[in-house]
Amino acid sequence: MKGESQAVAGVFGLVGVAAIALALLNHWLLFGILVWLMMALAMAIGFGPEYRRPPILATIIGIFLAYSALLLLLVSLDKPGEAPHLIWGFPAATAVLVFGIWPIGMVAGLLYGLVFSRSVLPEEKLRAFLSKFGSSEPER
Amino acid sequence: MPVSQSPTIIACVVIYLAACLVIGFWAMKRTRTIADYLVAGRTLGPFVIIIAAMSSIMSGFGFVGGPGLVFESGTSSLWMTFPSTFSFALSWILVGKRLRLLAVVREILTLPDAVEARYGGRWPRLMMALAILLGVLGYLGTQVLAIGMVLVAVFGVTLPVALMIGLGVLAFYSVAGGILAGVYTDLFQGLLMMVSALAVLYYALEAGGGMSRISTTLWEMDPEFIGPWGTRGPLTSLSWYMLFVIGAVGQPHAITKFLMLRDVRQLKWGALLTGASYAVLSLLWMSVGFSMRALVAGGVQSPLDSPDLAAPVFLLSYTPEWLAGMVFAGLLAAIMSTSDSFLNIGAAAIVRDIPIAWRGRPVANELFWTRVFTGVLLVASALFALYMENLIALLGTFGWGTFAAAIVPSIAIGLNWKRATGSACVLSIGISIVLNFALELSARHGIYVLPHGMAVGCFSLLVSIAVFVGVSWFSGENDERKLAPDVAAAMEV
Repeated sequence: MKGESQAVAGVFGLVGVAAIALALLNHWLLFGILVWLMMALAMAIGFGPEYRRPPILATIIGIFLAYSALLLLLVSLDKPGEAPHLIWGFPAATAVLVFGIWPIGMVAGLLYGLVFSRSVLPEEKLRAFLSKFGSSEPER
Repeated sequence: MPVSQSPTIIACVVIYLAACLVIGFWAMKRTRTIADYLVAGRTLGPFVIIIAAMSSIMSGFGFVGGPGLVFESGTSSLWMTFPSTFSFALSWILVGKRLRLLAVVREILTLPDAVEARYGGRWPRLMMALAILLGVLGYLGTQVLAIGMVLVAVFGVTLPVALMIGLGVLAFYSVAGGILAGVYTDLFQGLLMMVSALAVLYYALEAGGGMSRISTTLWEMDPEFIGPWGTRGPLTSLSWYMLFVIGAVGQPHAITKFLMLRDVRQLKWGALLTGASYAVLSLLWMSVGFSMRALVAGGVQSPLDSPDLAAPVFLLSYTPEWLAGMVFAGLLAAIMSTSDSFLNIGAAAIVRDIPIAWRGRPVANELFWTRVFTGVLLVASALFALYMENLIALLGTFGWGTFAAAIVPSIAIGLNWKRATGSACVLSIGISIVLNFALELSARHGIYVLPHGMAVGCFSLLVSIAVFVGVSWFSGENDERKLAPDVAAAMEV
């Protein structure tokens, strides 16, 4: 478990190095995918060992795949030379940004709320911690 | 900036300023200790924290600079504001629980307190305090200047007089009521901003003839402008996204709000609701910029002298007076809510963090001196704003990136990864300050510019993360064994 958390942090750092290299070489599409990967890894670091629970792991991977797919879709729809096909008022590629990439971030906040009591802050773990260290903290 | 001198707008702004004074007076009577002053005595509920975190991130840059950037470079600037749906969640996931639980086992009133508890020794605290102080000075200067400019536009007075009015109100509620006044004015200010943003969206779409017509006009003007990357191109847009999605986790004016929460269990829905609230504010950022540019391109509106005039000109020309008044109050709210947070953490850095790092204890009568230095910081920022505008502009651009690069590794990763070390913390903070300052300065003077439009803050953040992880990886085993049991326990829950 300890080695695994180190591995996630280590990969996070390595992906950061790769992102610098790709940006400096102007491989912006791969850079964009590494940005999503760093976001997913940051979530895994924050959830700690709990990230391996199926709902959390599936959501983290799902967010990464969804962002990457949306980025590829956006690129494929971006045709500045052609008359724009509007979706809800925006050219199709921009609509992917406004109606896809923008709102999908909410899934991370939704996941946090849904797994909070079980994986982020289980009541029994919190009580054990507070009984040892936090007598001044509010009890429920 | 255009001058309104409309009685309705003046009345709205005067009512807003009076409300801030009332909240300041109320908070003054409840602020008795340094913990009350810096973390509101850890008495705040989740709703206040959510709105306060959101409104402290939405500064004058967001309300004026955001629409201005859309006006200037189209969709590019949306890559700065759209990350917020994810970035607030990431702040909660990486920092919320860890920071709040650390405050159970140690006396944590500031981020440098947290860094010392986590890594031990004085250098991490000193470096973190310096990074925060430098970032605060720059940010505060730009906010102070913005307060002055808005009040010049509303009252038609000179800049020094406008600064005296605006800073007088800010000084009263920040010095007297500390962060308690700050967060309750943030609450009031945040709600005002959200209502304003929704109303402005309606008028922006109506003025432009609907989103489809706005898009068509902009596409005829320049297809790239309304395309997914705007005129700045994909690498700039994506590097802004990176800087704002992960860098937001390192903004001290937002994440110190976790220290004020009454009960750690109340973090639960904050991640989702803060992102959703900020998304409402992003509507103003997007709609005003696109609409104004379409109005100019269609010949309805004469060209603007500066992109930053997009929001004020739109409000004065295309919205009813009551709404313009409310949004001008909302604009002041955006600026002042960021400023009061910076005043608080800046004064704490001077009175608490640097003295503790230097001689092992804070100054005597900490509450009194923190109040004094809150006022001193405000006066210094006003003088900076009046006489050193160039330096302010440099430090202003330096602020977000420095906070991101200095704080994300040490706090966001370090509080979740036991192998992280104090030397990695010191080195990554030092590198983040030097890189941000050197690259911003050299770009400003045309000496060296990062290739392909990569954002300086993004580059510095990535380097800082790589250095932090690399140094910790190769030197961390001994430090991990030295981790204090109470801190280790806070990292394990």
